[in-house]
Amino acid sequence: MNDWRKRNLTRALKWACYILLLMLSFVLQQTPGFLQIAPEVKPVLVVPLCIAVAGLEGEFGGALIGALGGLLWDMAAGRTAGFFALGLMAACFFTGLAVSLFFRCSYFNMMAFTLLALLLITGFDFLLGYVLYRYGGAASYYFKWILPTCIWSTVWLAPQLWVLKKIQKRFVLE
Amino acid sequence: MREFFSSLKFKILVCVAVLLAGIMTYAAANGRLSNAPQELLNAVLVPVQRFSAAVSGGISGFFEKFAQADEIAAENERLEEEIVRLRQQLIEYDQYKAENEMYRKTLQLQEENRSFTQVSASVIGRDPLEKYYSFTIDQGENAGIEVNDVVICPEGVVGKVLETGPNYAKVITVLDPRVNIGCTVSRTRDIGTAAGTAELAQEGKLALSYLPRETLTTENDIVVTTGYGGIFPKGLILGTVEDVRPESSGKSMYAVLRPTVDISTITMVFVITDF
Repeated sequence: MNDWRKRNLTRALKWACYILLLMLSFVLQQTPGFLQIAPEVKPVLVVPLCIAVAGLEGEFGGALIGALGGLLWDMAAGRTAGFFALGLMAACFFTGLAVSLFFRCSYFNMMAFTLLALLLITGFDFLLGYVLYRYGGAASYYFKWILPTCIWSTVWLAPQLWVLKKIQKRFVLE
Repeated sequence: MREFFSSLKFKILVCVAVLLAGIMTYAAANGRLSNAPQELLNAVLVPVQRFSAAVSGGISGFFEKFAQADEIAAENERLEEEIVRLRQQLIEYDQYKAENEMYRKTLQLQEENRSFTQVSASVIGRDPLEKYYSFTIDQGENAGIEVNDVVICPEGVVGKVLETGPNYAKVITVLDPRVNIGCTVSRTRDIGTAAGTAELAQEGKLALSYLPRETLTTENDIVVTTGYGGIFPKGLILGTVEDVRPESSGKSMYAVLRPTVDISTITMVFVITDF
């Protein structure tokens, strides 16, 4: 097989694995009771996965998979389509850019980026969907629900990044 | 870096961002996006979600027996006390029933026959950030489910269907402010409107508003649906009263209700497709 065809096939297979992993993370994220540590606290698995892909593959691929992951999350969470998609796409773009220019793709760095992305995206959602409507109990909702969810979701970046690194190593472009 | 911002890849990303912004604007203006992409996605994912939910439920159920032994023992004791109280009520109920039968025969009243057409469904999806505990079930239009169909458990009302696909449906619960239910307090016959609030939803409760200022509603009163509005059938149990408080206007009262169903943990529901 020609080199360029082999490279394209390898790249396609690698990205197919990433997208399958994204779908799996999405399904597990929605599964009732899965990794749930409190009635309000379940991990958002899509965000750490997209951030990890952005760290490994750069800003372009990361932004695209962030857009896809965000759209899936929008559909499941009942938000306006495109809301989480735009936020996650931007977060993945800047993560990919930061990793390619300044940072190493280490577990600690990726967890920091994941936590920052989650805090920004969910913070914006909280502002628009809760604070602006002046609902009562806003502080309680943020500290008992949103913040623990962000932290618990960040923890799950580690196994996802480990799997993604294995996939990347398996499909090395020669 | 400068080369990236003038490259084709960056232009593609800008186009995708503009497309997403357009999608968001369209969805915000029209309530939602086109059904097609969501239905296609769920046609593929719902069977996987169903399997995942079953496995997760099985594993959780196995470990819960050991982790919650103390709680289960305490709940057992509480339920036994409630059984004793209910048996006393049953004796009174039998007396009232006998009197009622006698009055019906005397006045030749006909009894209403109520029957529901129901579809059973499993809960297969809950989003981590869903503050009103809305969920997705594994039955949809193919099973005869339509938007606004009522969702119940044997214990009481859970919510109603928000949107449907061929093999799935999204359910919003009674804790959601978008769900308004005409209700009556079964003991005092006070009528009000039950709806969720963001604050009460955090505790798994909702409010029964527009009760009269002189209401005699108290703690432990049972609240049932009135059937007004045509969406929720009459006589379904919604919850029990926990507290009665004045509204901010001072002109009426509202009751804090605890639903009879633990909405955050239910796994099986019934959808009333016809009544």
